[in-house]
Amino acid sequence: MDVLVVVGRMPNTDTLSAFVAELKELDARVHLVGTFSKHAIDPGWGLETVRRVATDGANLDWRARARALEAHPHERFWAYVGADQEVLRLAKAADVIVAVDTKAYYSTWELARLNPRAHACVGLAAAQRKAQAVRDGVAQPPRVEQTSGADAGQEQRTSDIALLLGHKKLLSNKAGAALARRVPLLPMREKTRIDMTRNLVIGLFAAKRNRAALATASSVAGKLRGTEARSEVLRTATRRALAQGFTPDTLLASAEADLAHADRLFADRDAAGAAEFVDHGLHTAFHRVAHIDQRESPLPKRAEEFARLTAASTAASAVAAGRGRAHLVAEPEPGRPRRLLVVMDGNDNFLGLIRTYYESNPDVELRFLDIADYPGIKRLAGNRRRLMEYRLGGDPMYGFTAEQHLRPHLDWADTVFIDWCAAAALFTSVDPGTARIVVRLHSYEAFSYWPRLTDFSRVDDLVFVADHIRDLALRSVPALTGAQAPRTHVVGNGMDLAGFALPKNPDARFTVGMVGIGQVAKDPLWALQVIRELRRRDERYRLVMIGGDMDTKASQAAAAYQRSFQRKVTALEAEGAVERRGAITDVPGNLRDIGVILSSSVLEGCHVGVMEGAASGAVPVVRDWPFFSGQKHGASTLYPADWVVGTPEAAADRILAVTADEETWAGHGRESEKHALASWDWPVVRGEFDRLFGIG
Amino acid sequence: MSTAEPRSEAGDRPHLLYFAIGFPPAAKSCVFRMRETANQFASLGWRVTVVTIEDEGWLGDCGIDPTLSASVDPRIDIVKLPLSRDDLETDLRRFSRERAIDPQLWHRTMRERAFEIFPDPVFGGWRYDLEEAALRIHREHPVTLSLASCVPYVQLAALRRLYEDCGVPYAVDFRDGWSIDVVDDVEAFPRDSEAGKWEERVIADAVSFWCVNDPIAEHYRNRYPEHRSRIHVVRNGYDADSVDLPVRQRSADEPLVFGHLGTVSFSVRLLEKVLEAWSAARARDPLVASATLEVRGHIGVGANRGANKHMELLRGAADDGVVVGGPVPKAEVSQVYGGWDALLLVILGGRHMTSGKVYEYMSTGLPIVSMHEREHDASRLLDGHPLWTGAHGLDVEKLTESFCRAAHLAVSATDEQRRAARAHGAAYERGALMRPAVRALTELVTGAVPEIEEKVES
Repeated sequence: MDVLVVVGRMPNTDTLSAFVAELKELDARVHLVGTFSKHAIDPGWGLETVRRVATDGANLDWRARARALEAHPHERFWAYVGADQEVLRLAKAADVIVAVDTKAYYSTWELARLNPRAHACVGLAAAQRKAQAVRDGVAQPPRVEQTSGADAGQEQRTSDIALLLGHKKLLSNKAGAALARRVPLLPMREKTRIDMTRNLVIGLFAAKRNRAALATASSVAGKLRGTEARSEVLRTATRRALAQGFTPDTLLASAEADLAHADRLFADRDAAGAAEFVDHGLHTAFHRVAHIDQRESPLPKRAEEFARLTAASTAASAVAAGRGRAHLVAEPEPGRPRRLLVVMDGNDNFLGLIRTYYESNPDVELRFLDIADYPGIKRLAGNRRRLMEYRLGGDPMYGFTAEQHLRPHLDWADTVFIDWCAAAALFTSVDPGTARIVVRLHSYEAFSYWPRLTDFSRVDDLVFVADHIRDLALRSVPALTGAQAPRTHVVGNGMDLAGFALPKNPDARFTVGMVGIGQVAKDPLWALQVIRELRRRDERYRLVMIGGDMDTKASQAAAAYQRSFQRKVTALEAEGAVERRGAITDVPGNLRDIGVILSSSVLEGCHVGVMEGAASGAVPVVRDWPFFSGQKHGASTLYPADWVVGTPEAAADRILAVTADEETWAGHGRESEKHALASWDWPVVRGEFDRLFGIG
Repeated sequence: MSTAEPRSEAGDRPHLLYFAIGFPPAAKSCVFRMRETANQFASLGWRVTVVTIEDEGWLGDCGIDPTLSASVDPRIDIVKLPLSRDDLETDLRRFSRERAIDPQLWHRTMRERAFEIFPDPVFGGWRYDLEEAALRIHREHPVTLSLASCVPYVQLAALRRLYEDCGVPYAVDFRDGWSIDVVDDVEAFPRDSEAGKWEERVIADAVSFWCVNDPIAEHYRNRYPEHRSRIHVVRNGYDADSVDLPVRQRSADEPLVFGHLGTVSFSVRLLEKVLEAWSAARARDPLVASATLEVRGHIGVGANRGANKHMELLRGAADDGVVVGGPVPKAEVSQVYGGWDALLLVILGGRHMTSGKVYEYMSTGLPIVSMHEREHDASRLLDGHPLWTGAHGLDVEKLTESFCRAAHLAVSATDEQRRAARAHGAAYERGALMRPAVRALTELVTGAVPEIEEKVES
């Protein structure tokens, strides 16, 4: 028996290997085809065939390749699979053909049409049952007829001329590209213009003419009459740029076009359609590649433009419109503790001290609501499209269900403290009753769409972890200014710093450390520049990096950064200049090795690692975080100004100065420790939470 | 008025048309209640026709257990309709091209279409087949009473059709209710929604309306106070043959075995917490460190049953002594319990949720570790069970402590404690719980006070 396994995405290797083992017990030969990482496939599993299908279109002619590029991704996958002769041979010989994931369904469906004798199914569990039945001789014969279905796209197909416009040979030539770019500007039907532009833009990106692709999209968009067409053309180019890992100039124009179309649909009372396009617009404007996965973001410099983007859109404004509250905040009845409800969504990193502190406070009755533990609430919180549709006047079931889920919590609580803004968007979809709503907005979220989906007229107090984050939010979120805006506060994260002051190990003076290298915003490459400069002057210094690596699957931008970092750090590790310790649990213990704590970040809220390092007696050296450099608040207002440096050279200067000798270093360390404990330790910060929550 | 065998107006045996999609051999948790219901009506002299779907329809869903059919009263007629859940189809040759290309769009469209027919996005499309079946069966053998065990709610459409077209009275075994979401403990839909209108109409004319616990009944009494007299609690229970335990002779140095029996259909996050607590308990207590945790039952439902994230997690916990043993045929349930020293009870929901499994667990007399909300109907039942470690919500630390405590209970419980534990659950034998409800309904519809056949004759 031959079983052909078709995968469109890398399957879980444990599940796959278990499946292969079960099939081999049935004396089946198992063949794996599709897209997967070859390294993840263990030859020991005993797969008969491992065939990775080329997905660059190299084995297709230009027309098929161009059609594949504009087809549905699953049809595109079939274009590649169906062009692989080895796969076709295996399919014709198979007894069972199985699609493991949805991307592979269509390819498997087509392969099954080539072999009417084979059983065809979806899911490994179904394949296992089918193979067992075949082996036992009890399998029903496969259905003879298989719905062929009409090719719905046939009539709408793009013309060959439009496809030709995306041809690599044409576009890799400078003159050819210039000529092609003029074509969609000629007089023609709107649909033809869109088809041509889409193919041309995709082709230009493939030919690495990114700027030309974006410029083409912009100029064609100017000639299009329909708002939807403009939105599509600009989004095609903009999203492709973001997918490649860079921020295009069209970012805001594309979002604006999406919102313009949303406004039109909203005016036509199409709440679902309007929600879809508001979602497109916000997703583009606040895409993680633009703000999180690179070392710069357009938001800090152009915050007001981002504010105008949503303020100018009737639909986006309606999504965040202030509905106000039906009742005033009520004080708890006398004689009972204040009921404090803390809401989070699977992330309690910054809530540990708040929990232990208020749990032991007899004046407080504390409840934690982790949305991740409540599937119904989690579904509501995660479905931003439905939330937007509800805010735009549609989907009444969303409001009904949110009310059902949240009302008991709101009725119980005197104060609701919502950590993270994603949960706040959901909670402010319903009237708060008499509960006071306090929301904490972290630095990461200031760069996301969540504050643009929150009804801040239902938030009484908004907490930031630092002044510069508050400044940025107030500049870029329209609902945070005006009559219905909440009171704002800056309160530190709250850390238990007392346990960090441990004796330093002997080499600590020459050991620069950083805690956290798992995001591009931490910019560990800058730290490598510092250590290089430092060692150029004194080879005794080394750098210890604590924390896990970046998630390279987050985006091409993050992956590119990690590759670059990996390349550079490997050489430095080889010469003993850098040591990476990975993720650790004992931070205070590891800080004993570190004499200087470095912040190389481009963006931070308050950089917990530096504060803990300072509390350990390590001397802080903090880059003037570029996202906020030159603004009213930033690293140099959060920390003593002498901790902050502008360049790797200045960082090296400061490190050499503060570690010039044991006494100097120890003196600076004591000062740092003293400052940290006096400024950020929990006994200092907790009083601010008490005031915020009206306790004591 | 008392007769041994109730008669319909025509003088024949009364005829119960029982919509019980999930009837044996479907390996679903509702199957035992359905089987008991049908058997009891048959034992009271009713002609019983059960409507369910063909066995094949369950293969891609929960699977089947042929041993479940053995104890179905042979006098019962079973009509199996050729219906199946298209969304669970695993045969690619039955897929349309459009579905193969974009399964998500296909699903969305299918749900919208089903909802237009009946306000149930999964089963709504079955409405007309069920209605036709009801009318056909009534034509062939006039129906005295129709009864539906929900879910799926679309069965209600068949009851209504028979009532509106032919005046056949009906009752509803709503089990977990419809307008109450027992998993999330909230109202599922408002009265003015499509589903709300259906529910209101159905309840208005039902001669009797059953649900599985008091909180659900209370929800309905509050929602429809004018119908409160017809709303009854008919609890689930355990099946005596499942817990006819052989006495396990466990030597002092023999490692403990914890067991979980039932479909693992709770969330991945919950399973992660359970495994985290189990691992922590092993690190903390030598009694747990040497123990194994046997997970028996289907791992998930649907096309990827047994090949899903749950299974990955369970396999990944093999080094912690977690063993996945597959589903247990009903006939072997007792034997499986007999090999275990303590039980793990994981249930979703809150105060409106009971879960039939809790009755069976209680009746074993074994220590029980709970992973469910404190305010849960299972807590109300377990309260006072001498070998229960309590409900502590979804807290990993508390569950860790519970595992340790249960391990010690398993080795130190006295015979008296074990007897008391069994006695605690003994009151919840399924047949005994259901009998009064079936008798009352029989009396209500036929006007006869039935006598009980003690044994089902085959």
